[in-house]
Amino acid sequence: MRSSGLLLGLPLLLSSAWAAAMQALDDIELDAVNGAGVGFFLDGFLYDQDSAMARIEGFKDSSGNPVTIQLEDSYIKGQGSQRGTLDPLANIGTPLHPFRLGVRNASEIPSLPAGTEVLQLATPTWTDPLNDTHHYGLWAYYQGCLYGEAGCTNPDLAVGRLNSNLSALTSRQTALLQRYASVGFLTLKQGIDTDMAQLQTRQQAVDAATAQVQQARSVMEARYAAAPNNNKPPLGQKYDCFIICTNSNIRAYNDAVDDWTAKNEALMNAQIALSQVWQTQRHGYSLSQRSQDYTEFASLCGEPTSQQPTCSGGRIAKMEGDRASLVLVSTSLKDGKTRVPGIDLGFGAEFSVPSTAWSGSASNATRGATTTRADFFSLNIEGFTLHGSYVNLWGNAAGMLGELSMQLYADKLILGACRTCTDANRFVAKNVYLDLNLGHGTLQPLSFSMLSDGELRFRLPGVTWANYQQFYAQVPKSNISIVNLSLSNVNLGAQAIRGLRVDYLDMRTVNLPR
Amino acid sequence: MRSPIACFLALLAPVAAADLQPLAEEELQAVDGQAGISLAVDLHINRNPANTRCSGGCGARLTFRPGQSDGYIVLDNIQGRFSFEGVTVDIEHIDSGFNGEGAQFNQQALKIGLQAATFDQAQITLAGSNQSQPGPGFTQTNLLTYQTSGSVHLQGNVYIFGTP
Repeated sequence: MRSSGLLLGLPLLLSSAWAAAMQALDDIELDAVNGAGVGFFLDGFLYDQDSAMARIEGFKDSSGNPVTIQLEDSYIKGQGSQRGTLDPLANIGTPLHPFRLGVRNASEIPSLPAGTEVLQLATPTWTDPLNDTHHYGLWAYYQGCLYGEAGCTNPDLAVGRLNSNLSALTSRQTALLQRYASVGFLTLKQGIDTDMAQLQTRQQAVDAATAQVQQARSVMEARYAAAPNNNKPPLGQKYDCFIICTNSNIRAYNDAVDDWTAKNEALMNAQIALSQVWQTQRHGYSLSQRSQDYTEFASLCGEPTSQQPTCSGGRIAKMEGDRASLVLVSTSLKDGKTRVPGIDLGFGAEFSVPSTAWSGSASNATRGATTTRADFFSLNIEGFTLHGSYVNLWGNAAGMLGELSMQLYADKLILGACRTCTDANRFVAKNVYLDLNLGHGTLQPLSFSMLSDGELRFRLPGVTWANYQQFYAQVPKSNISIVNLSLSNVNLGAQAIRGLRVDYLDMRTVNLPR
Repeated sequence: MRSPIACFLALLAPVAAADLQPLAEEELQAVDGQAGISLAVDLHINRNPANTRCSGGCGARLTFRPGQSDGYIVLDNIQGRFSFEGVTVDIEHIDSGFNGEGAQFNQQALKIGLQAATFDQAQITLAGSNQSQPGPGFTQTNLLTYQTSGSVHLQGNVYIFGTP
């Protein structure tokens, strides 16, 4: 009865509250209400598992026995919770930077096919350098350490490191420019193309000679099998018949050996001729050197379009673009601005798996008793933000389609396999930035479907001959960077994957028979 | 269930009739963002022993069919007690606070507050299936089952509002 009364009261109260604020809309105002959405944010949020039991079931070990994962100490709290031991509240979004759920159309999202409307869920988005994850994630990578920790209080470290890298690249560019100053890069390319044409011709000769060797070997093997076993030499060596071989099978085999040997010699000569092309000299440098230099220059500065090219693209131009982001972030930090705090989250998990004891040597092991071993795994993420991410969903005859852009940043990510150890025995990653982009509405929509047998399927259609130019120009890339990755106190340094793009993906779940 | 509600409404009717008086426009405008209500939500979902597909009977089942898929995403065998104490629902006019953003925001929002949650033998299974309801040829792959029991600390306010 109590809840019934309260539920009756709710609409009454809501209606009176809205009544005061509600006003009639005229036609013009109504016309403007198009694609309006919902915004929401969480203020003062905290979740702590406390003493509650939580477990995940449904997994099986290799023997088909159920594996239960017991979750413990799971939490979602504000940044600075010291892995869940303190209770700072999390603010996820703000009134002016909420999560947004609404309908968007192709005029607002250029990657969509014309006339398409999508349901978009976007996470809180900021445009200032400290809270725009694109800028901050890049800065954090170059900074090389977790800002605020001992020895990492100078926000200009990132710019300094980038300048140092850029300087190394620029000196390489200068050296290459000087090397071919009297030649010119268009002339250099022309010479390489001419030599490469010859290289290709000789490569074709090598391919043909290789095919002939293989054919001769097949003939030799067949005749070897037909030859008599008396005093049979190893394959590839001839019978010794003194003056003349009387057996026709032996004669045929010996001829095949001669032919195979001659073909091998021809192949070797073709390979030598091929390798000689790489040594072709022009302007004082071999083809091998010129080709390597040209490729390096194109990588540094983009494809040359003049004899004395400037850097219009390539890694140097990209790095100069990155520097602008880094300066924006470091300037903001020096101005005393701060990032919107992220959240801390984590959990521990204990699961039991069968463990079999073995004795004896590796080659003669004896299987002992199988007992159950309890393993522990923990994950903690500190200062986690998802600013500027979105997912667009829509459907057509092909099923449910989507575009996904995830901007995940975390100050620290700690994986542990021991309950009572310290970080010296854990996997610790700092300044973790995942810029994951999957799907492009027009060129490569991410499709999600459930198969008739109840399995999940994700697909990203492949690049085609018809769309490859647009595909490589427009389908967004992904970037992953981690600074200071350490495993059991061994520093593995910085890890980065830049410019990752999925050409084709077809992934489905399979229920393994047990 | 029908008669207690009828009695409750019958009881309310004369009281409401005696107290209700028309409000002037100005008075109506003042009725804005009052204290709201506090709720204790206690949701029991029992298993159905007649449904022998799950051990001991199945709980509730929700299915979703994405796009033109042949199969369904299933939240299956939902059962147990889900209890949320001290849930508050309110309409709040935000015009201050939030590090200065409140004044700029200056609009109403639905505010849902949480204080604590208790679960008793609550569970939910995530699965994929070829049918929304089990029938001939039914196939289902259970991906995982989450079970929880006990009290958790769950607090915070969710603000929901319309955006352009």
